[in-house]
Amino acid sequence: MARQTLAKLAGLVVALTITCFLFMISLGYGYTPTTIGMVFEAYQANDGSAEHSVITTMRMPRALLAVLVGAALAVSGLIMQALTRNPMASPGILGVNAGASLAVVIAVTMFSVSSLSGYMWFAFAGAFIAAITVYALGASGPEGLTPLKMTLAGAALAALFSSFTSFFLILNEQTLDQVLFWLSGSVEGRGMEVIGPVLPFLLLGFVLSLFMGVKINALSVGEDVAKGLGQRTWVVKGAGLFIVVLLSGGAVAMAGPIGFIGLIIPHITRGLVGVDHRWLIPYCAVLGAALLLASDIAARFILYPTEVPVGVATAVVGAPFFIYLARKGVMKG
Amino acid sequence: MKKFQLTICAASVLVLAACGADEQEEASTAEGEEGMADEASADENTDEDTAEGTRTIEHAMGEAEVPEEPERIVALTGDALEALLSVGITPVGATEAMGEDEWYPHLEDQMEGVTNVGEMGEPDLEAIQALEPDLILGNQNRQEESYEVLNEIAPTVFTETYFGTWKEDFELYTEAANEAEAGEEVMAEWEERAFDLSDTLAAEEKLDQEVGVVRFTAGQGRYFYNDSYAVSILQELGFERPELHDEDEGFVENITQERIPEMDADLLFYFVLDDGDGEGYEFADEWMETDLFQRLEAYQEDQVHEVNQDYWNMTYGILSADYVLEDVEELVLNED
Repeated sequence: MARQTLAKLAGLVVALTITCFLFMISLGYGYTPTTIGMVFEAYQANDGSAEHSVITTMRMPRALLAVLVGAALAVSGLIMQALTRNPMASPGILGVNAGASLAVVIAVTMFSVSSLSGYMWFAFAGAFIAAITVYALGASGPEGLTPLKMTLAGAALAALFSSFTSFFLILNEQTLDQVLFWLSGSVEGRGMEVIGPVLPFLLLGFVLSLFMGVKINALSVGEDVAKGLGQRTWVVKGAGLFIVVLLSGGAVAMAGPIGFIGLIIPHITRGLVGVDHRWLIPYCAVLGAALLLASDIAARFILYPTEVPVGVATAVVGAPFFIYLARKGVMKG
Repeated sequence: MKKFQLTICAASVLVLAACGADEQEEASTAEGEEGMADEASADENTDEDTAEGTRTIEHAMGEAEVPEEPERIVALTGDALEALLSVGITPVGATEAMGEDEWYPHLEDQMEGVTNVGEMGEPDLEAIQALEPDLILGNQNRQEESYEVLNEIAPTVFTETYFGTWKEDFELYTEAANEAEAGEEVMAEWEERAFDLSDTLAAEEKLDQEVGVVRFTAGQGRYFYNDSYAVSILQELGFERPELHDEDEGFVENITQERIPEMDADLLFYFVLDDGDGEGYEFADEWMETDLFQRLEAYQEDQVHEVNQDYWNMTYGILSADYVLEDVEELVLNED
């Protein structure tokens, strides 16, 4: 047991190291010819050169954003999968991203909201409404909450929300450019000021999630088991929902909807460390950050010098890894 | 869904076209007795549908048999609209301006009696049909998917791209409208003006400058290559081009912030696409406040000029081209 713990801890350190390495690459390589050495110079002996300013004002916000958004999407995906006992659950598939996006589009088109902190509250509200609705729809009917019903409800709602989104966009054709840019999902060019207002909520979500491990373990075995252990399951579910809303709503507000990470990182992580959520949650956070960092780096070079939307790059980077793991049979759902 | 709508539309057009054919016969039989003084336009149209009164115009989608003297023209693009207005024709219908206003402010006072037929990207086919046009002018890049239906409504003439070919496009439009001569005159006048301005610029030693054209929208910065409207005018004036922009193939390059240095030029014109909520301008400011932008040669030399995007980047037409010359004259010559 102790050895296993040690191994997992070592694994986490390795994952963290990889993430730090990717973070440095993200700062050091891009369109402007720079090196990792220059990253250190930029922060220790900034000579005001163009390269240094690119690193501090353009690459740093985007690397930080990739870390935060990647981690938030992965952790919220994991918690959704555990609470609903549905391996297909993720902010993308269950319509939470679509709900948050719709809310932001409504904010922009109907209420002329244009500040990021305004986006944020709408994104939270949209994520909340979507999550509650999917859960309620999935849990209705005699046999209660089933993964299939929930996935169907999520897919249906996601389609509904995106058609509403299109409706509002067509209605307000002029605002199209701005919203489309945001809807494409990106961590480029959004600047440090995008992070500030959302950061406290994301941190709250991360910290709360770290305390949820044991409770989620019990719940993910089964509602009856959890109740038998004396757990007030609705409190755990409520807290889980709160975290999901904070994390996915916050991620969408900052970077727009980015799919895939919330779905595959939890699976990859379970393949690596098993079913204990005390480990799964920190692993997901670190690996989610790593995947989005790697995708964002790939996005710069796949069609150099044109940048690929990071959502596309996420799939390009993540899919082969996902298939490899699936074929090796390490994915246990 | 769209396909379905289109099918319905096409079907209804066919039915109506069939009805129209009946009317035509009636009209031509009635002609002898009553003459056609009163219902002039409608009757004339049908008259000219007969073979003797048409001209063949070659265009992007093939050939069109257009009336000898079209009277009810619908303009689906800004440059078609300006072409017509410049030779004194008021179209019966036109697509609305891009952006906040229904019509472009500089054209507004000439738009009386013109029916708005919807957005340029998705013209309202029913509204166009209701106008009973006898000629439709449009653009393949923008309206290709509506071409079949449009051509059922009335002979339709399309230009191919909306990039740097505005002069040829002007010629095609005016020719289709049977105002080729007037069009030539208008163009000759413009060219003379451009020639004079070029002379003055040369005399002031302004033409050895490399000039760049840049656009900001919320979420996007881009610079234009040679095959674009504004750049083609600047090149006609004789300005040099920065090496990176001097690309004959291609219209624009969309760039990320890190690529701002690519924008550099001795003289930089920029415009902002903003729908009135200030986001485009906010975004432009964000880019222009970056260290990279402020290192640009043009910025350091105080040669970054904002220009009105209605003229530089919207209609791509002959009337706007006048304003572009005016802007260049004012910003480059009278800067001191």
